[in-house]
Amino acid sequence: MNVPFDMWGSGNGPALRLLPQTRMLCGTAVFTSCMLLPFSTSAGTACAVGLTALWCLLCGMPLRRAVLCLGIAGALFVPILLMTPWIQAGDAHNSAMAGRLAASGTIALRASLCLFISFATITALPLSEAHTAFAGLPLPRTAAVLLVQMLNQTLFLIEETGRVIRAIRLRGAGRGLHVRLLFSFPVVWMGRMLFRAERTAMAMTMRGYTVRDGLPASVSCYAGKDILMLVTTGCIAVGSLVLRILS
Amino acid sequence: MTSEKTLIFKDVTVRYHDKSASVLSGITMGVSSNERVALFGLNGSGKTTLLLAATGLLPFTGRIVVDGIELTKKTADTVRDRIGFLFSTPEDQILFPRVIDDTAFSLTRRKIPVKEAHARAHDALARLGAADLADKSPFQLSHGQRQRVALAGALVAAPPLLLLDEPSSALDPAGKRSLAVTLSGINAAMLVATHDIPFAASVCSRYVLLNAGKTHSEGVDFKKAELCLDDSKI
Ligand SMILES: Nc1ncnc2c1ncn2[C@@H]1O[C@H](COP(=O)(O)OP(=O)(O)O)[C@@H](O)[C@H]1O
Ligand SMILES: [Mg+2]
Repeated sequence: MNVPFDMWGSGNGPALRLLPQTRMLCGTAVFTSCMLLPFSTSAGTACAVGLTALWCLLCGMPLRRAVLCLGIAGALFVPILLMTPWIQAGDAHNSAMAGRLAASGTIALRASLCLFISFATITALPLSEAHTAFAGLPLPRTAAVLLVQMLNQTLFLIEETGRVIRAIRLRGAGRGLHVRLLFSFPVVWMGRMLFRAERTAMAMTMRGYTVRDGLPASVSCYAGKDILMLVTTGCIAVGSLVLRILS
Repeated sequence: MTSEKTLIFKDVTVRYHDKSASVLSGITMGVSSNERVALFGLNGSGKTTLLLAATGLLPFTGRIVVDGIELTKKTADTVRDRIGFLFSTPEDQILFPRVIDDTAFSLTRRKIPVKEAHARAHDALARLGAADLADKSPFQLSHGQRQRVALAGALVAAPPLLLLDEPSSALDPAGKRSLAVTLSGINAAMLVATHDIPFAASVCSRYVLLNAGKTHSEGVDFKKAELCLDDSKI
């Protein structure tokens, strides 16, 4: 079926036994740590790599997804490495080239690790639990409802966009397709989106949907393992911040 | 067939915007309680508009009465509580990222305890052969499955009136047959907009045919409706 939708919740690691909101918060904490850890020391770099690997294992990220992630990271960040000769190195003590390589390598590595953490978190978060995750976050109710609906509608829109593109392709098959696609896509797409927005608004009125009822009635309480994970990842994030300040 | 009507349209004219031309004009019709009526018409003849008008979402003149309640601005919410609606594209009406929450919504909204609401939602899904979808996300479902989920959400609160917009349009023959059997077993008045005449004939006892926003004909002879729809002159 649809690759981006299949990815959600495709993992099978121990993290899936935590509450969805815990997974989301822990993923955010790990991501933050990875952003903060100083890469100027090899210890900091090793910490970041180890933390990312651990999180991927905890989420049970399938090998297929990991390979996909590696591919995307390569496509996105190898160009940064290729730009090394033009990068301004901050550290004047290093020989110019080595300094530049370290600077570009750091950017590429950090970005790749963050990508892995995001992908791993997604594989640990089935779409059907996303609203529970938002509902359980310490957010004002209205914000949580909005987030749930934004996610829901965005995913339907992505799907619809795919359909629009397929329809245009099918009907405009042949040469000159791309030019035609370029011109007809925005028009067709806008029309569809407006129509869908109108219909969904009608459905909401019809079904009596309000902010008050926009979240599932029962939100599970944090269990011991959730609190443990939250405290652990929280401490790691704080620790990373301290290391950052010290370095 | 009882004589009391669950849905009454009396000389109803509908326009989408106050000053635009009317899309439906002078519609008078009714659906008795537990009666299943097909609503035929070519594309653009006003079938969807008629169904939407019955929920008070479009400005109209004339009288619309649902389950004994006159439809006005004040009563619109009460009226909607008595209606189960199925859009022609089910994803328009699926509002939750997990099937069971969506199906149970009409009940949880009415402060029915979550446990009971979920149990009843499971029953509704099971009746439509979709019990195994309860914990899935709607994005993992096919069109036919989404339609069953949307229908379960409309049926779960047992509304006296069901308005179904092209329910069979994306179903395979087996899906159509099972939907027809399910609908025939439901105790509610139904208005089924469709141009699938064999499907309508297997579900409904009567039809109303719209043409360009007006009632063209009514009857019980579905063969005749088929001829009318095929006839390019209507
Ligand atoms: N949102 C809208 N605004 C203005 N006109 C509309 C809108 N939706 C439908 N119409 C018009 O109303 C007429 C009937 O449409 P509709 O009820 O959708 O037909 P059907 O469901 O029978 O195919 C069509 O001529 C259509 O152009
Ligand atoms: Mg229609």
